[in-house]
Amino acid sequence: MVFTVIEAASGLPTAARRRAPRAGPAAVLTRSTYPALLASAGFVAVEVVDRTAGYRSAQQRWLAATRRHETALRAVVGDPMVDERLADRSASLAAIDAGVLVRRRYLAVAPGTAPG
Amino acid sequence: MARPVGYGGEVGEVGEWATRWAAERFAERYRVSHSDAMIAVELEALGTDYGATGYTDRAEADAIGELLGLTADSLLVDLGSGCGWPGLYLAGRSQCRVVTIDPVASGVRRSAARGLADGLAGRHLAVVGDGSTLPLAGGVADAIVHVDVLC
Repeated sequence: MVFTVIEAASGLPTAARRRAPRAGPAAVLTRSTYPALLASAGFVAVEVVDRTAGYRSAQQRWLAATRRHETALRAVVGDPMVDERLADRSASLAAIDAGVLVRRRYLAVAPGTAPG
Repeated sequence: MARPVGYGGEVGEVGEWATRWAAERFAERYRVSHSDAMIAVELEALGTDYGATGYTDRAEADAIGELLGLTADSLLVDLGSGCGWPGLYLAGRSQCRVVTIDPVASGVRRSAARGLADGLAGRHLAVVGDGSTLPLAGGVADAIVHVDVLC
C-alpha cells in the first residue's frame, strides 16, 4: 500500500500546532502517528519519504494557475469558492514555509506479503 | 457548513461533523471539477485532467506505480479515488484491474465514465464506499493506493 498524507510537523509548539488545521487540511491533526495507525490496521511502514518539497511546488502551481484563470473560475464556481481557494492555498504555503505542515509518502505492507 | 476547526483541533473531536463537511465539500468540488476552467487549472498544477484536487502530480503517480510493482495480473484498489486519479491512470499504464472507491457518489460517477473513456471496460469497477465498508473479500487486492485523502 502506498498512501500520502499531510501532517503537522513533529515537535511543534502549541500555537504552531493549532495553526496547522487552519492553514492546512481540517483533519491534519491526529492523536496517534501514522506508523502506529498502520500497525493497528495490520500494516507495517517499510518506507517513509518526505514529500514536502513536492507539496510546496504543487501548492504554488495551484495558486498561480488559479490566479491565471481567476476570471473564468469566478464565472464557473463563483466568487466565494475562488476567494476561499486563494486564501487557503496562500495560508498553506505560508505554513509550509514556516515548517508547520509536511507531506509524507508511506509504503506499507501487511506482514507476509510483497510491497503493494 | 462552517469549516470544522477550532474545536480542540484533533480529528477525533471533530468526528462525524468533519466527515459530513468533507463529503459536502467534495460533492461541490466534483460538480464543477470538469469545467474547462477547472481542468485548465488542474493541468497546470498537476499535469492531469481527472478532476483531481490534491498534490499528487503525474511524476509522483509514476513513482507510486513503480513502488506498487503493478503488472497486468494485479488488482489495484484506489481508496478515496475521487474522480479516478491516480487509480485509473495507474491501471492504464500497467494494464491491471482497478477498483476505485469513494464515498461521494458524484465522484464515483465521474470515475466510472473516465474508466470507460480510457478503455478500462471490464477491468474497472467504480464503487461508492469507504474504508469501513469495502466491497472486497480479504486478501484479494494486490495493491492499494490512497493519496491526498486523509489530508
